[in-house]
Amino acid sequence: MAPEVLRVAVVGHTNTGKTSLLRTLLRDTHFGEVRDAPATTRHVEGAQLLVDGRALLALYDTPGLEDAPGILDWLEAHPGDRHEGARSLQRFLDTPEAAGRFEQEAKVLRQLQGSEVGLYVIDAREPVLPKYRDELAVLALCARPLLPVLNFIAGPGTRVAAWREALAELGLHTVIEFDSVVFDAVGERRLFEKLSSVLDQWRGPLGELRAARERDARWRREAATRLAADLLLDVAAAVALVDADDEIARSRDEAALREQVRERERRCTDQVIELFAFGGVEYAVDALPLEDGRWHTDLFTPEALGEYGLKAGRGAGVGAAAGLAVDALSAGLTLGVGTLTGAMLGALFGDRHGLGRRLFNRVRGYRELRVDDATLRLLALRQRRLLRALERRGHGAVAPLDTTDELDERWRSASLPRVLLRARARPEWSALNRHRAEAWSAPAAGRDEACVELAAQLGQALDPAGADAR
Amino acid sequence: MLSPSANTACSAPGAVTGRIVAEAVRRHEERAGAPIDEAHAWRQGHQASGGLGPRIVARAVATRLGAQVAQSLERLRGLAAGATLVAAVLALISGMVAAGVVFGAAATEARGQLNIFWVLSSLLGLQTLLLLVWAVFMGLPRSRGGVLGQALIGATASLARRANRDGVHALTVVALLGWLERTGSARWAAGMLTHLLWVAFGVGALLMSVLALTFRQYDFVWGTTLLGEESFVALVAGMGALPSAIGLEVPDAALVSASRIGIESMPAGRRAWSTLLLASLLVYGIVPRLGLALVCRWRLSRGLRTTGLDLQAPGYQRLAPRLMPVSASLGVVDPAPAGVKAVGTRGRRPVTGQGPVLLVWLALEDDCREPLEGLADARVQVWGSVDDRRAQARLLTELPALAPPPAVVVVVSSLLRTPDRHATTLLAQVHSATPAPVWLVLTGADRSGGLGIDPAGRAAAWEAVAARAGIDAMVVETAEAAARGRLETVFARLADEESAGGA
Ligand SMILES: Nc1nc2c(ncn2[C@@H]2O[C@H](COP(=O)(O)OP(=O)(O)O)[C@@H](O)[C@H]2O)c(=O)[nH]1
Ligand SMILES: [Mg+2]
Repeated sequence: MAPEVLRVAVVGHTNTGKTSLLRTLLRDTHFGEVRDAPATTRHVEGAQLLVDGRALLALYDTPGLEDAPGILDWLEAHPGDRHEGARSLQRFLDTPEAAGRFEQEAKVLRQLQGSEVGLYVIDAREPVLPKYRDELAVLALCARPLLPVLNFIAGPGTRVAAWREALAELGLHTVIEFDSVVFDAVGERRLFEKLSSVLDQWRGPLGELRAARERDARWRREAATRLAADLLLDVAAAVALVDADDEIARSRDEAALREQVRERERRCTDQVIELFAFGGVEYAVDALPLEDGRWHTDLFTPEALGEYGLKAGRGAGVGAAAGLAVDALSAGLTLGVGTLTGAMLGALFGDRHGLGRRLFNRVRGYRELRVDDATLRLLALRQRRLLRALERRGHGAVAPLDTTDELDERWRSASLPRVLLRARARPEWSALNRHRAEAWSAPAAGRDEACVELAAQLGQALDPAGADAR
Repeated sequence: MLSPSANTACSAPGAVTGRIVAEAVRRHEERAGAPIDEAHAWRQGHQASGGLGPRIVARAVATRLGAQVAQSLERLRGLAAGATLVAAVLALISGMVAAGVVFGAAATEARGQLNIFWVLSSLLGLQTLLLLVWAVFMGLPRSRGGVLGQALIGATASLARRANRDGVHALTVVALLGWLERTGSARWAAGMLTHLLWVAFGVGALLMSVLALTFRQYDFVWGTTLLGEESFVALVAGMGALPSAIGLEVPDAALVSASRIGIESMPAGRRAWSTLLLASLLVYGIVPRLGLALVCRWRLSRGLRTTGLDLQAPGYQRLAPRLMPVSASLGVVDPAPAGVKAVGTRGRRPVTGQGPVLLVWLALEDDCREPLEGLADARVQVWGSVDDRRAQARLLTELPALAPPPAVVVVVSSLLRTPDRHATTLLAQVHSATPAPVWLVLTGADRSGGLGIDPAGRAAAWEAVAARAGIDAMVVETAEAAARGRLETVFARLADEESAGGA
């Protein structure tokens, strides 16, 4: 009777990251217990991988193997007849030792026997010690295909070559490299591919699983870039009318606009984190370089710009506070030529909020205050960093999110995307210009398309130019 | 959409409604910043079968807001149907008025003489021209599908929104319009309405014409200054081709010539001419518009039916983990064994033996062994590695027999290893195989940083193991220090400690 769900036992020495591997494959930060200590997991715990609600694969986390040499000693001390092979293991499992001194190991061996395949997790930083060979010898008695998984491979000091050689000597040629802390979608795909290479009859479900995971990743990325695009459009189109003559009112309005933008960035960050479901915002936030949900350095400081290799715009020089710029018409080309043309085009094509209204405001003694280009770039770069860090974080990771990453030149120095410049002239595109209490109004024309277009550009900038796709 | 047709056209009843409800709920949630948290709705969504789309719809429909939106959509449909009906009646009346004006003018001003081509161009000319314009615009990517229909949609929407600005109805209208836009159906909806209104106009004109031709008598004439008679004969033949194909009697060439202004008209010609007039109104006015309305309706319902939700929208994606989890726990299938048993008791044996220090190592990297091997001298006996089972067995059998017994047995291992039960057992066995104190020296602290290992955590784990195995002393030392011969100072320090502890 063939089981409906492929059962996979995750086995290995203690503290090699078995539970972490499960967490990452399950996308569940709450599965089991993970600690850098021996014998953290002492029971067998299972979980299923689902596609559209259907279970396709069951993974079983097992206690670490700690005393395989002891089992071999026992088997040597209690020889059976010479050809019993796998039956010697059964003999061992039936003895009181298997319920006593070797109880933990017995659980692992029984689980492997009750599964179609085993993943043998290896800490690739470890030398190939005799005890590991003993483990492989004991596991081989279960007569199940065993796929070694080299874990910890994203870090320094690994001995991948030595392990591959040693495994090949033992006849284990299909070796998986997968780090459960630094997630790699390609690595995960290979893991499933290799599983199906040794389990031909499970090719179908494994292929489905692989496809579903690729689809999910694509969707999640699209959704996340749309959130970032939404943020950028909101901020680019944000505009505050300030009274040029009233110093106090002006600085108050400037402060209000900056606070609005900060709040908007925070909301976007929270939503992006939520998308990745790293187990609730409380957990994610203290693992992020965010303070209280905010980034460490305030958005509107030269330090924040400097961190990303940006320089403050010239807006600061003409009276507006850092990070803001006085409107192109009233204070020269602070927003750059591109913006100016964007604004003029908007005016030409019947935009109610274009040139005419600005001139009108100017005459009345008001100025329009906007967020400057450098701040837009900074927002984009920060979201990009966050997204890359989240995409490369396995659910097994427990350390703080690592957001050190190379910068994207396109967003740092190339000219800003045209959609953003268009947004400059479209105040109705920005939720920041709208009052909360306002009723539902028809969606602003062109906003949705602009968001999708900008999201696509952000998506392109996620992968380093020319490097690994996906 | 705004007409009842959308309801009847969709594949499963309510499928389109469900998607629009989902859109409305998403818009609401995106504005509110957080998903609606109704346990019942989550459950419905979770239990729904199929992919993410059906689950999102099931959840949205099950929320309280969703139910309100569905109701509001129903109401909107009624409103739209009403508005369409009113507009159609108005169009019908306009058609009647237009025909009435034409026939009335002929009756009063021209003494019953009806210029056939003048009548046709008044009743069909404008709308044919508009039809051409419509066809040209539909070819453009951003066309909106007809001014009349658009106006009707806009009017209904603003009517509905005005009814209550903040509430569900306004949200529903926004969701509906957004959905029409997304599915590309807005132009087809507008087109369908436009054509329907023209059909109503045509029917009105036809009715009025039938009425006029039934109860009044007209002489059909035509005239031209510029063109020749043959052109008119050909024109009538062309126009009559379709009606005559379905068996209607239309004027022949002789009748056309005979009907020219100034020639005494033949009474027999009246029937043929009126047939041609009415048939033209039907065939060139009503039928094409009706056909186009049906085409638009088909495109509309197809667009609504086949376009799924935009699953990549952030508002939908964030629901995914709860509606369609990628994993489900099976729980603990084999419980943990009872607590760990102590293998030995921590001893504090004094250094009494006369023999040398016995140096063994366990699970060390290759490059750490060499310096240790170099330590061999009169006071230090290097036993070597006890990594494999054979070496371990040899140590355990030969250790009790050593004479004199070693002063101290020093086991060197590494903080880079995670201690395990086998190591614990081995240490305990070594401890009971010799009367000498057994010390544990852990190297590798200097390398732990580079490998991302927390040395303090590992030292604590080894400490626990040492305690369980009855080890007499544990010290953390780098391999480098050992290589420089400082192991001896370690020994000295340990010895001091021992004697102090023993005193
Ligand atoms: N850097 C890194 N750390 C890992 C990786 N896998 C596991 N860990 C860490 O290793 C320790 C042991 O992990 P755990 O899953 O509890 O191991 P188990 O005892 O085999 O279940 C934890 O501190 C994990 O965070 C990995 O791939 N890379
Ligand atoms: Mg574990």
